[in-house]
Amino acid sequence: MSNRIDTLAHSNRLRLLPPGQKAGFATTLLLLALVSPPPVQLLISLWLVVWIVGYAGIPASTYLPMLLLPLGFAATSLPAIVINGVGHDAFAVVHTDAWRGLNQPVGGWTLYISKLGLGQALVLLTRSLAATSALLFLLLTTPFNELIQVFRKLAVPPLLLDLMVFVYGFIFTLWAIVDEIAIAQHARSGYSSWQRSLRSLGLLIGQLLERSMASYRGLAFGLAARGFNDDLRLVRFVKYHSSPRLQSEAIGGCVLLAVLSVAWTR
Amino acid sequence: MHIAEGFLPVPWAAFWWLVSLPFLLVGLRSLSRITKEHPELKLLLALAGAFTFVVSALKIPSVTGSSSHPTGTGLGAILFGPSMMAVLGGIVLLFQALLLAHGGLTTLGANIVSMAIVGPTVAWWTFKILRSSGFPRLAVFAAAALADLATYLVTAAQLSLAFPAASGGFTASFVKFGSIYAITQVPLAITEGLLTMLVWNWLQTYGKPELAILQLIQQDN
Repeated sequence: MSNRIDTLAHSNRLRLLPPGQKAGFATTLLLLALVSPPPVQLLISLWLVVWIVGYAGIPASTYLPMLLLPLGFAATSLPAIVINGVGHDAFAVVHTDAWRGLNQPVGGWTLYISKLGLGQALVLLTRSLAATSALLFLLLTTPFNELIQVFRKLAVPPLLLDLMVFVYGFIFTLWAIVDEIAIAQHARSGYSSWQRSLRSLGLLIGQLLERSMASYRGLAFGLAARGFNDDLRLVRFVKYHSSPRLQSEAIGGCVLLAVLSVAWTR
Repeated sequence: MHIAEGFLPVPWAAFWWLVSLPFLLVGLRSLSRITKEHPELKLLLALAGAFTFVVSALKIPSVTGSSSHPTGTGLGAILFGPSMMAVLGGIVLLFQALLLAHGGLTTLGANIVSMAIVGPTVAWWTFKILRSSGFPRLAVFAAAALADLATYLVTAAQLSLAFPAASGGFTASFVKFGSIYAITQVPLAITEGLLTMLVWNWLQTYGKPELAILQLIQQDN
């Protein structure tokens, strides 16, 4: 199971911009996306398409499904927000809130589409879209180990950072193990029915734990042999280049969006 | 289940971050105590985190025919203990946001509360109580299934607090969110319970040395 996002983060065209700048840009847009009115949120999403597909060179056929996937979650929650039910006799009370209602009560309940709910749903969709775009910009342009450097500057506890670095490394080792076991299982009629799938998966997870512990023991011995005492430093050789043109577009655009949101709310 | 990026209004996102913070700090303190005594345990903890992440990224066949992801919180809590799971679960959720785009950074606090704090705590106590009353197999099944159910109920509550219905407020909203998610989450909880039981049986039979090493983390909890 190779990771799509991680691969793109290492190979996109904005890879060599300083990670601090990219993180700052994404965070600013994320916060702006949370507080700005819907039209500005849509502008943010569109502008980020230019950055991600245009500047970073992520194929649109990869980016759009990635953007729509988290929105699927939003979509499944929307009926709960939009559709309301009240006891039939109480319908008069909520009459002002009802946009469309069912004439026939269902089991003593009148279902209706709530105006408040529709408003909430619209705001939610545009906000999720803009915020997800900002998050994806960061994920698709900045590899995780470079985000760690940013976290380090933000005074995140070192123990937490160490754990994250190790977890990041182990994830790919374990994924490789999962791939190998799954291929072997498929070759021996694993996953051929629902019950068998569950059995195969149970075996896979158990063996994964065993194999992970084996690799832990190997690594622990190896590190102990090299005098490991609670501190593992990694050397970086990447040289970053900042681009004045992109920098001015980022700053100018953020200021413009902020001004627009203030103007719109007035 | 994850609340997506940008889904919660700012005040609620901040509120859930504040709720999760004390748990993370306490977890982090006990972690740093353990790793000072045994530096190599840092690797073991990271491995536990990576293991939980990879398990949560597997697809499990759901009863309804569609496939879904296990949360891994039940198994994690049984193997590594609940106070470790607050921090490990937090890291796993961060990786899910950053490598898989499941969940988000602003909603990370809310997701930590439901999946790394409430779920594992429920799993741990269910496991402990049922095992000591002499139902070791049921204990594993119930721990994993109830952890999933508790997680989904907390998520439904978090969303209803943020989006109360125009009539009926929080309660009406909770019933609506709860019943929509129940369609996917109840079968998932049962499936994950069965799966965790299979994993546990296998580990009891063939993985005794591994489980013994994991005791190192748990006894210091």
